[in-house]
Amino acid sequence: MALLTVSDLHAYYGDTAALRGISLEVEQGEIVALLGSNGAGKTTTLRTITGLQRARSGRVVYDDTDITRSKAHTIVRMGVGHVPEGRRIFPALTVEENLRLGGYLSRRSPKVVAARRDAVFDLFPRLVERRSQLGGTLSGGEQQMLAIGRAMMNEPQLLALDEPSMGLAPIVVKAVGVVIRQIRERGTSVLMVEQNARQALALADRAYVLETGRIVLEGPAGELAKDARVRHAYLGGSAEEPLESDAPVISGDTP
Amino acid sequence: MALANALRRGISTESPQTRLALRASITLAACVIALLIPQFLGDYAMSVAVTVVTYAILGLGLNVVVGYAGLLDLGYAAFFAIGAYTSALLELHFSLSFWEALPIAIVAAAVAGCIIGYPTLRLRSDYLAIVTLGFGEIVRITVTNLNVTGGPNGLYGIPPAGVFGHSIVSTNGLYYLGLFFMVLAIAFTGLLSRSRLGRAWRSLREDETASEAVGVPAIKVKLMAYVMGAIVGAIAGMLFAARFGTIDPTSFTYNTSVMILIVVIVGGMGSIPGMLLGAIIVIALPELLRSVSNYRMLFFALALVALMLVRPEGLLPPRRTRRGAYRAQPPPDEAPSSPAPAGRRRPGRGELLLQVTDVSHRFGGVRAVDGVSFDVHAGEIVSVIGPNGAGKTTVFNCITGLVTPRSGDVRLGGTRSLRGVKPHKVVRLGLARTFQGIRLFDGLDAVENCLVGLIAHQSRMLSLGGLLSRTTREDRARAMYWLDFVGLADRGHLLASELSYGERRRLEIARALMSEPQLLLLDEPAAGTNPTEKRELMSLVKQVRDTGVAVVLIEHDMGLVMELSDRVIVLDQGRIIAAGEPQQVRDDPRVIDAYLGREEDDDPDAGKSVEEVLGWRS
Repeated sequence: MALLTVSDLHAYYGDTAALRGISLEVEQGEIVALLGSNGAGKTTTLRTITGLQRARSGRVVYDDTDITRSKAHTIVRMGVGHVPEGRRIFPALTVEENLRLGGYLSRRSPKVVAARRDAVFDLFPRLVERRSQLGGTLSGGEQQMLAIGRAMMNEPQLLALDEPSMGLAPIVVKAVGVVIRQIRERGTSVLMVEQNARQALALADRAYVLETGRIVLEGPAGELAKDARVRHAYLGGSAEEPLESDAPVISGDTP
Repeated sequence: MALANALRRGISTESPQTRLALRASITLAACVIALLIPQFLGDYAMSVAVTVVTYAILGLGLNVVVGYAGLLDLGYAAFFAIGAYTSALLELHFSLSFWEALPIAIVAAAVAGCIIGYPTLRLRSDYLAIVTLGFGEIVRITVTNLNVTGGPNGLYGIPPAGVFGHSIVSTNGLYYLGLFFMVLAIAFTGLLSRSRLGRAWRSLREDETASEAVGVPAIKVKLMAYVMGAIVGAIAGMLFAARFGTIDPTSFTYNTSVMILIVVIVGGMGSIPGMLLGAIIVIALPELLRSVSNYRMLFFALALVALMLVRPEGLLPPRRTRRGAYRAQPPPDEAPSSPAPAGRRRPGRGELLLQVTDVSHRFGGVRAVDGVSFDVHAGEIVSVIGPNGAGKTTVFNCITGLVTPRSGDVRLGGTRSLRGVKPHKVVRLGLARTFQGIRLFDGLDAVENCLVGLIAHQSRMLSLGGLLSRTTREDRARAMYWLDFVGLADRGHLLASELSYGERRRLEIARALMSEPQLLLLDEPAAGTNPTEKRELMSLVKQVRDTGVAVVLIEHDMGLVMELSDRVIVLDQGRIIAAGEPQQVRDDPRVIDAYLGREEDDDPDAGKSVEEVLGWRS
């Protein structure tokens, strides 16, 4: 039984269909990527899974429990963390306070909160130096780490990451890749939305490609990276040239 | 359910002509009813009707401030009072007639509008509300304590208004006089909402920073909202004084201000028919509830609460756009082959356009920008790259006037200093920008978004006459030209919020180009775009450069930076750590350490820690 099973999920914004039957699975210990253009429904998929957006029909089953109609905070309590697009840290609170709010559900046991905070500090030593600094004064890379750390305060089984590399310097994008691997090593499965398909396919075990609210391609990340359609539409390379010859992210490759 | 769906479908598919005909017939029916009701109602009901008309005028006036410009005003009754007292004093002490006092009362209210507007211009929302509240109280307390205004007893013996030698004293006569002024107020505020000023108000309401950055003189435009609102309020005040022949401070309390605000909110902020309906409900409903005497205000309050729950946007909210009008036109034909004459000199290739000299800025104790100097020449594409928090956006803000640098200088064309120049003036001098997170006016359609950008271009438009004039055919053609230029010619009628992500990016560029800039600053234009959108964006930037505009862009996408840039400037911790040709910068070890990272770190399995990758710990 997969950790997360989404079947035939439909969601709407007003009268506009955002999801038209999404089905996907995340196994225990997997990193799964959702790829696709803007407006394809990637963020909506994450938001519907974590209860921030209402599904019109379909089912979301997490850890053998139907969470389709559950409230967002209940889903967090069950072990699904969400790092929203644009990081959304609390800018006027300190790093420490941001993390403490991440552990809100365990607020009655300060020892647990402190232990989890230390685990986050262990993952991101930089945040220790910044602990009394206001969230809004951190650099973009530090904010992304704080956002991930805040979600980790509930020790999620599954972490939903929305565009973790958006707007970050190439060097920080690489660091985020390392972080995601480390999170998986700590036993958390990851479902990530990425515009940066190259990085996502390098990290993920499996990936789904979305177009206009439907899944059009799915498979192991390595195979999708070789798929001509994916290469053309999402990797920005021509279909002929093999992926291996492409220099990594920083190359000045011509489209 | 089925019926509701059928109805909705019926409404959505009807043609603009049908809708126009429907509106015309509703308007006609309303006029006929308004003109004929004195025939059917008694004297008491008619006096309620006169009050309804007075509040409709007040609602129309406050609607300019609250609905159009989005500025909260809790002391609007002050203008009502100023109109009433000014006309009463002029009529009593200087024996002026109603019509002679009218223009003077309007001027007095306009001056008062400036007085209340000026100190509040830099404030937003809650603070602004408190200041307007204070202003309303100051006016009430002043008239209560001055001898000339009759103190708490007020003024009496105010002569009625005269028309063709007849004094208007009958309720029906007052009703028609009120109706006359209400029609004037409708025409006046309707004209305002369609004018360039109205568009500037809407853009301010949507996003103040963005509208300043495309050339809207925010302070002046906000002041105009108070002044226009004050004028309409003063007319209602005159009508009130002429009706009762006596006025005292109890008519102009905080409660009055709140009642007017309720008219605006119940009716639907920004909507003219909404104000009329709002006034009917707020004034007539409590009268209808007189049968339940003691509880009537309770029922009225409950009705308001219920209404706000069911229709939070008010009873008749303004139509979201005039999309029907655009859809009916064949848009692409409107795009001319070349834009209307720009009136701005096109610089020769290689000419010095922008000179940034030793600019530094701090936020609190953090040195955000530290001695940055660079030049930009015509026909160039310059990229500014660097880690997050390196100060790239702050450099842009220093150049465009959003931030005044602590030291150093920014010169345009090598001569004109931009230090301390307001953002909307910087745009007029030929420097346009886009924002890191896209900042469009989401509630306006694509054409309107561009038209806001046009305000920067013609300084004449900043005069009163210019702002009040309506959009010309040339304005619209120019907007269509730039929409076509960025590939959005067929999207003009869509709201900015309805466009796809890539389209929104391009619309922001079109809006910036409306000011005919010499220099365009793009802040992370490719963030969040996919490879297809990125390719389109790159060719668009080249096209912009080919029209002779210099482009400076902040970007993290190295593929894009390497292909587009003539020169690259690398910032780290507020300082320039490298500058030069793209290849040269890419191979610079300092740039690799601070920004690009090492190629071997692309493999997340390499076993390095986050801190090692980032160089925070070696």
